[in-house]
Amino acid sequence: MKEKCYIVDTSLRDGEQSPGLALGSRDKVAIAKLLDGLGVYEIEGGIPAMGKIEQAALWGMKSVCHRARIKAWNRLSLQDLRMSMECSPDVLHISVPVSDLQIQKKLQKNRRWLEKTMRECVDFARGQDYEVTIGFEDASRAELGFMAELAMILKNMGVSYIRFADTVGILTPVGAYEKINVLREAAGMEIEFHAHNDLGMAVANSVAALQAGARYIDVTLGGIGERTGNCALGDFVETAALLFDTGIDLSAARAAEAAVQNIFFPEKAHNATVL
Amino acid sequence: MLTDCTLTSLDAYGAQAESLLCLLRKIERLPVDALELSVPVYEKLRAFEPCMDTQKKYFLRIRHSAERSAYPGFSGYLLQEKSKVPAEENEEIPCLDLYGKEIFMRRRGFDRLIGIASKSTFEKILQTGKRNELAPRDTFHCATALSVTWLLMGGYGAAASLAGIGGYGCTEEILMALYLQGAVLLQGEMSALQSAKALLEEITGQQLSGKKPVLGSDIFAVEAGIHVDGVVKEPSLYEPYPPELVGLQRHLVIGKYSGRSALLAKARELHIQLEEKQLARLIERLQRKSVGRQARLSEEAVRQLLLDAAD
Repeated sequence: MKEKCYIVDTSLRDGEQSPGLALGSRDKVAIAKLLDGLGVYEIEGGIPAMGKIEQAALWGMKSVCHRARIKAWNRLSLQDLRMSMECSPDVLHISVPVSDLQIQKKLQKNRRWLEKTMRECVDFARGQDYEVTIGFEDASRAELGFMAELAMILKNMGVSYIRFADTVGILTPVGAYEKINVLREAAGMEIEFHAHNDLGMAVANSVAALQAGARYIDVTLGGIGERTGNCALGDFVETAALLFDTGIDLSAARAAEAAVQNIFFPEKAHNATVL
Repeated sequence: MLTDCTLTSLDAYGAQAESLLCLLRKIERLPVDALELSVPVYEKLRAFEPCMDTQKKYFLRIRHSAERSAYPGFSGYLLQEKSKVPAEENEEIPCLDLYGKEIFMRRRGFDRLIGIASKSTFEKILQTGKRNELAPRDTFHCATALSVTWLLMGGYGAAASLAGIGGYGCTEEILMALYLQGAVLLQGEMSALQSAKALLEEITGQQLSGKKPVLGSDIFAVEAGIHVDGVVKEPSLYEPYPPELVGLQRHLVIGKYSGRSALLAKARELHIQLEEKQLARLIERLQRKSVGRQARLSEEAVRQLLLDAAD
């Protein structure tokens, strides 16, 4: 019997961040319903802190999705979390930049500040009885020991699992396997893997992450997403099914990817063939 | 050794000899070690003597051993007779010199060798001590990853093609992955990729996706607030390598996900004075407009939006 893996679809959050995409609430809810029908485990539905359109979308998803859990994405910010809580999602996801490059150059803070702020945010969300998952942003360029320390703190605070994000898509399968293996053993937590396709290896890296013990894999419909996109749902299901039980029917996944093209790219609905 | 096989996968397109020569010249500029040509492509190119650069190796894909003597002057001849193995099974294709001596063995296939499983298989192949060139098929979307894994483990060589045409791993992805792993140096040669891509599109009559890794025209577009903020502070935060390395440029797109940083950067670019207090309302208007259009805003629409807000 094949080992089970769980699909987290982030088409409506990281996927929609693909430059040029702009979905309204109604479209987002329709896509979420489609994903729910496919049998994905979780739908990362959007960023409520962006405002009313995203909040309305999250509400709508909650009412039409009967199987998939709806996740709201947040920065390390209590204000973001408050806006997400207004939509009553099933899961609050908090993104924590963990590489020194991100901490120093983007946040312009230090590790101590990061740990303290992460604790405050998790404490606030858990205090309101929310299930919390944490995303280690830029994990592929971060120090494994530091991530393991943070993971142990998060485990004690009742965080469900951590996302390992290859934010700039630089991993190889061997690198993904080794990093996930070390982090999972050091932290003793379940791991979700989030690939980007900058080197055309998103599918291979996601399979390697599963082989290293990751349980959840992030995908998007047709691989939409920042730059070269994320791990494509159909391609991943087709490949991972050789070794794992994804719980998703490949032909249904392909049909869903074809169906959303007109919603994602209405101006290109009749575009030329793409190699 | 990385062999580019693009010019073995274009026979069906009836390309003009001039276009093929231009493409050959562009691929020669890439940091690949060898180029492989099909006989029909070489037949078109041989009119342009000397069509082969002396700095690279050139291989010819042949169907019959006797073809070697008809086309002298190649570093090697890949003898791919009519395949006797079923699809998806591994195939061995010898690369012979003009006199029939084997230079290396190409191993085509490995379709189902996914994820980390490749490592132990490759270790066994390496232990044979023979010169093996890997040419993974892309049936399960892992050909690039397999080639990179093989080369980083010390494999003799890999065969690939631009954009993976012909079902190979992608030359441009393999080169970039090796560069990011510190295994090869790139010194400007990759900028030839954009013109090579344009020629490939012209020859095949098909447009490459703007999101195609390394080649796509949209891969350095940035819209999301969090990413624009990061890229403004330090591009490497959200870019795996500088766009200029592959002949591309970063460009800012204004749409639903644009935030304060993006709008302020765009206003600066258009020399429009914008104050911090105007931003919250502007972002709301921008989101409504983008969602209404279901797309990014045009430069003119953004300019108008910013001017209205600045009034």
